[in-house]
Amino acid sequence: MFTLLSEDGISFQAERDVLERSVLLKNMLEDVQDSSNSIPLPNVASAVLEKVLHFCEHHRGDPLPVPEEDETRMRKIVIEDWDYDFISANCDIVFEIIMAANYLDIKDLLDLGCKYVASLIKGKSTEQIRELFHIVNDLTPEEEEKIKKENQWAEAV
Amino acid sequence: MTSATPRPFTNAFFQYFPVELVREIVVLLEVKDILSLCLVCKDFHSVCIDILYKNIHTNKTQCFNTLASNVQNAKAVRNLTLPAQINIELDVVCNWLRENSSSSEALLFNKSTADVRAASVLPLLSNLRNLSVPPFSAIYTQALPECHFPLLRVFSYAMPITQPLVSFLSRTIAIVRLSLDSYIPFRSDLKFNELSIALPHLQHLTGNPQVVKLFAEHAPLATVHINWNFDRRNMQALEQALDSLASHCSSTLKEFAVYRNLFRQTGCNLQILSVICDKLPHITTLGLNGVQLDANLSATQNALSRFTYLEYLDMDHHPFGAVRPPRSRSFVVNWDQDEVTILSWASACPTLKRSRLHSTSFPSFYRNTFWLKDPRDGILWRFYRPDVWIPLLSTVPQRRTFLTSMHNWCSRRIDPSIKSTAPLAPVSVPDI
Repeated sequence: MFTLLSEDGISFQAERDVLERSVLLKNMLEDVQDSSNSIPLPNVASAVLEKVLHFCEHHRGDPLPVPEEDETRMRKIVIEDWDYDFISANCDIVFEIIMAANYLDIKDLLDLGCKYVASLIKGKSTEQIRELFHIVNDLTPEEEEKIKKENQWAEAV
Repeated sequence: MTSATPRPFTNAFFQYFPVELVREIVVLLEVKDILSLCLVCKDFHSVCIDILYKNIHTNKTQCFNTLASNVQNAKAVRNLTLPAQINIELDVVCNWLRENSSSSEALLFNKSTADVRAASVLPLLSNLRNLSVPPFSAIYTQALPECHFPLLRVFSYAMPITQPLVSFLSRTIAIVRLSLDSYIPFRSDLKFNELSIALPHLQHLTGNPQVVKLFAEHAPLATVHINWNFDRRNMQALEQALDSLASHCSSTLKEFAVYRNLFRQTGCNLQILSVICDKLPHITTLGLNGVQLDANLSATQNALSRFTYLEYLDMDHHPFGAVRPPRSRSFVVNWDQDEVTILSWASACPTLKRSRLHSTSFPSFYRNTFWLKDPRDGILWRFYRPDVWIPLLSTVPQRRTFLTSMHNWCSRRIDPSIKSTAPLAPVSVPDI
């Protein structure tokens, strides 16, 4: 058992094979037998860390995903059932989860978060995307017009 | 996947998300959605442009207009396949060939708006990694003098070699994979023997024997595919290329193949193999086509036995997209001959792990190729038309002998004491 310490000072316990889903932690634990010292994670809040560990626990023992090129990842959004339920239940912190997965280097969780956000964007209009994510439009109408014109060729692809 | 409405986000976290993570999301989107996301805000726009313009395989003038007018978009392009000039007039090509002209001017005909625009944009694409120039498109050759692509790694060029190309290659030193495969025979003013182009990172090369000779001296070549189409029957050109490879690339070269256009060319059969085993005995992969060796098994065995590491012998090597000559309909498959061939190759070259028989032994169907695999050491043999020969093999007693002897041979390679008679398991491997 190892102890992780979240940004807000809450400690979590987990076994080695759960933590090793994270490449960062795997490397840190490589030479460590003794588990008396807790590992501080100054970039991850407890609410997020809890979910991350939940995900890693579910996937413990799964083969680690191999890195893929853009070209093979492109335009593919397929999410497994358990993963979908997990991420949609935590969708209000999906961006925090993505950040944590990126920091801890948990490839499959990072991928899941990104796929989920992509699935939210899918089929939405520009205005709907802004609304969903509370994004402030900093483009002038002229710039918008220019971008539309520039990318027009791609519309019929 | 359901499209349940998520709980609404309560903050604008996404807008200030790190760019590299937004990028991870955008690559998953379809073009239509990227176009919507593009207009959301400035930061998203720049990420979207990077993805949207990364790979350009289009002949749309509009696209090239955009690249011409917007530097940011032009810099986003990594991989570009230039549009082929359309409306090729065969008369013009024929005249050009007859005049033996080394100038490519004659091939500048019927320019389409798209390729004129594409050629004018080419020098702006400073981040290109991968560029493909189609045949019959001299217009791009004219743009090359202005092009500086320090990051270009993959370059395929299907036009004759001219001075602008030579200068371009000389300054594009990051190239790792190069294909100079002209569909047009040409007489060039260039003195190949006097040229020197050093591409220190070049590992994979496709081209005619002259091209191979030109680059071998200064590049750590690992894969060489020779297209021996136009100076056919000129064994000397091939031998010179092989000499150059033998003296400069013998420690790096793993894979070697010679492709001939069989509509025009046969002959030199055993000669080719002998030259290769003589000059390049250390290669691990060899590809040939149209080489008929059946007539002289012992000479073939002798040649094959000189390869020290050969693992894969492909007697039906064709480059991607090559047109193959039609075969006679009255063709008869000679299984006994194939059996003899396989066993003799195998005994001559003990390192051999995979082999593909030459296509002259088989009907002209190339889909559904089939591999026979020994489940214990994974040795693969490849055949065509499983629908024809698998039933044959399993029902005709003679064919069982074939399978059994194959299997025995495989077994002996692992353990001389094993004399198994169990048939081999056929394993389907998807064709590449």
